Parts: sequence; structure tokens; C-alpha cells
Amino acid sequence: MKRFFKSKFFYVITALTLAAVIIPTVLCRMGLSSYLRSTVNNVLTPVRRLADRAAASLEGYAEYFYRFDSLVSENQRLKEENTALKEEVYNSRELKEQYDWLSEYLDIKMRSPDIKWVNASVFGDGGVSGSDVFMLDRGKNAGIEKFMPVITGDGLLGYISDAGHNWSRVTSVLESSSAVGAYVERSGASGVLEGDYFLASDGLCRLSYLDGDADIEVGDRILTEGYGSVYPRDLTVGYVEKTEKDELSRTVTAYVRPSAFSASDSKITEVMVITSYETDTEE
Amino acid sequence: MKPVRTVNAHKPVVPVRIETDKAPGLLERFYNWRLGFSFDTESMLRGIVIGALLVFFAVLQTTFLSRFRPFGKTPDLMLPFVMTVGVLEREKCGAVCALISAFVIEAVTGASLTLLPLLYVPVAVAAALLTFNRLIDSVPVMVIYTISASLLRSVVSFIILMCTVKGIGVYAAVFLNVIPEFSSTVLISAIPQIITRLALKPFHKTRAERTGITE
Repeated sequence: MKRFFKSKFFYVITALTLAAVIIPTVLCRMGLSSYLRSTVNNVLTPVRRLADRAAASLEGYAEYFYRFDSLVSENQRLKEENTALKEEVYNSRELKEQYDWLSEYLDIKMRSPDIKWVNASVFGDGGVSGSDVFMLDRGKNAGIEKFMPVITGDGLLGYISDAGHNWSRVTSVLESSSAVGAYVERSGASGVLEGDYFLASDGLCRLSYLDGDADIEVGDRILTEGYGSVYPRDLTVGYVEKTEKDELSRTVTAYVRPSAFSASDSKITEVMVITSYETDTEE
Repeated sequence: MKPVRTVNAHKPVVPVRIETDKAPGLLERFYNWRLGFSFDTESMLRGIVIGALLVFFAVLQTTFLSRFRPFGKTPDLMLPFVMTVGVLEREKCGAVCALISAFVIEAVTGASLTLLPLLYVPVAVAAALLTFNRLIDSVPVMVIYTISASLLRSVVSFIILMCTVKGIGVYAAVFLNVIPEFSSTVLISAIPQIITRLALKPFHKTRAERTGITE
């Protein structure tokens, strides 16, 4: 045992271990991504996409075990519905999905004609417990760069926190490190939308630094303010769920449910990455 | 059945330096920088198998186990994997495997605070040194290793959470993250250990066992 600790190998591995700890941490703190890390992700992304598809299929089968009763009744109901509507819905499902998807695009396009985006599919999360991070199947090869905003048809999802050749990583607005300038559509009251570790598990985030007399009510729509260089103005963020007034600091805090997470029960599978948009220089 | 002490039968072949007027060849010069690693066919094959297992567990952890999370948290598959490699392949191979595993898993997860090399490498080395010098490779010993390593993993997870997640308290870090992650890792740890042992089993047979020829 003593021989190992006196060997050349011991000194080399100790030095490499320390380098493996210090260099990536320092690079990350500086906002730079390591070339080696990016290469590892470039190589593993196709494998992970395949594995994720397999996992998604397995997840469907697994539901038969832990949701059997509800699935049996649902299956019966669907069979009855299916028989009645079989002719009517033949071929229309695909068209309807396309229609919905294009409508969402068109709606955003009409509201913000200068926005350009690329589509991407979500193929997994960051693999870290307690974080709201998504992996996308497109990266620099599709023109995606760091700090580009990511939206769904329902609203703002987050921003690109890292991008490689064929992958990119999205940090959602629920993540505790996220902060977005936002305002209330109805009254114009503005604040900062922040992610919070405890609220994230309920799918909520916090709109802080609103004036004590700010006009804000439950159900108000929250939009991006557009200050800074990440998010364009007037993207839908979500709707106010509740408000709290702090008499001590004379500020109001609103709890917002982001539309991207509340629109449907299903998981987020398709997103749009905004690659360029024009800002109003007069502001 | 008596537990058997695992012995790595392979010994690197040292090239003999014959005194000639010729300058030493490239391989001969390279030998001093190999740090005792061997590059014969069997060792290369062993390295490929370990590499394939490494990628397999990294992908499994970040795809399958992101969906099927025991106790609500993703278990750490790489920790029992590097520990088993250390036990089977000794400290040098274990340390190198641990270092690469930590790098790969942190590259895939995009960790902002990199601490896993400081956990994986000592765990692999300690498991190897203890097995070859003090303890015997057996099920109870592996259980002790697994629990000890998972406890150390919990400490590292706690530090990472406190440093990187804004607003998380000690209670939430320990009860909502660290303990579920520890339970999840301990529960799943048998799977990577068994798979690794099965995959590396052919390299730990004697020549007679492999070929069926007895001398």
C-alpha cells in the first residue's frame, strides 16, 4: 500500500484529479465551456437520443403496472369513442396536430414578425436531480448559440445555457439561477421573474421587486420586458397565481405559473429556439 | 463457498534493453511513461470493455434513470461502477477509470461545480487497496464499500447543492435531495456491480479455464 503512495502514478493521478476539478469549475465560472466537455457531448448525444427514445417507450409500458386500473377504464372509454369517431378522425389527427403547431407559430410570428427561430426536440433532462434543465437535439449546426431564448407554442421556456455541435442545454425559467425582466400586461407594472428551488417543484416562479402600489391581480398575464440582450419583448411568460404584499419592504411579490409548463399535462417535447430578433432601438 | 481473494494474474512484460550502439526505440522510450500500464492485446481489450461499460452506465444514468427515479432522485451508477473496477482491476486501472467516469458524467450533466473526480478517484483507489491488502472481495465487504461510498457521495451532493442552488436550506438539501439520492444509489448499486463483474469475468480466468487445456 505504501509503495502505491510513493509511486510516480500516484503523483500523476493526483495532479490530473486536481486539474479535472479546478479547470472545468474555473471555466464554468468564467462562462466558458470546455472543448473536451463539448466533444464528449457531441459523441454521446446520438447514443443518448436513442436511449431516451427507448426509455420513453418503456415508460409507456411501465404505466401498465402502476396505473393499471385507470388505464383499463380509460382504454374502455377510448375504444367506445374510437368506434364512433373512427371514420371522422381518419387522417385528421396528423393534420390537426400540424394545424395547432402552425397556428402557434403563426400567432407568435404575427405578434413578433422579426423573430427568427429553429425547431428542436427535447430528448432528456440534464440528468441532475432537482434541476430544471432540458437537452435539445440541435446545436451549433442549426445556428443555436449560448444565451438564445427558448419558447414553446405556449410561452417562454428558458434560455440556452450551453451549446455543442449537435446538442444544446436549456435552463428553464423555473431554475433557481434564472432571472427575467417581466411586466404585467394589463397595468405595465414591472419586476424581475426569478426561479426558486422550492416553488419549482410546484411549477411556479416568483415575480419580485414590484412596487407596493403595483396594480397586479390573480390571472394577469406576464410578458417579457425585453431589457438586456437575452429575451425579446412581449413573449408570454405565464399567469399570476397569487400575490403577497410585504408591508416591511413595501413591495409586492407575485407567484407566476409559466405557460410553457402549465399548458398541458404532457411533457415538453418540441421547442423553438429564437436565433435572432430585432430590438426597438428608440427605447 | 469460501470467499476467494481476487488476484490479477496479468503482469506487464518489461522489454529487455539489450546493450547495443543503437539509440533506444520509440516503444522503449515510451515504456518509462506508461506508469506500469500494459498495452498487450488482452489489456487493450479489457480497456475497451471498461470504456464501453463506462459509456453504457453514463447513458443509462442520464436517460433511463432520469425517467425512472427510485425515491424521486437519479441514482449515481458511476460510483458503484468505478468501485467495482477498482476492486477487480486494482488501483491504477480503477483510478484512471474513475477519473474518466467523473469527467464524462460531469460533461453530460453540465455541472457548474466539478467535485466528482475528488470522490470517484479516492473511492476506486481505496476499494482496490483495501481489497488487495486488508479485506477479501466478498458480498458483505462490497455492501460496506457501497454504503461508505454512497455516504461520501451524499456529502459531495450536499456541498454541490449548497454552493449551486440559490435559496436551498439545509433541511431541503438533506431531506429532499441527499437522503433520497443516497437511498436511490444504494438500491440500484447492485446492478452496475453485477454487470461490471460479469463483463470483466473473462479477464479473470486462468489460461487453463479459458482454453480448457490443462498442462
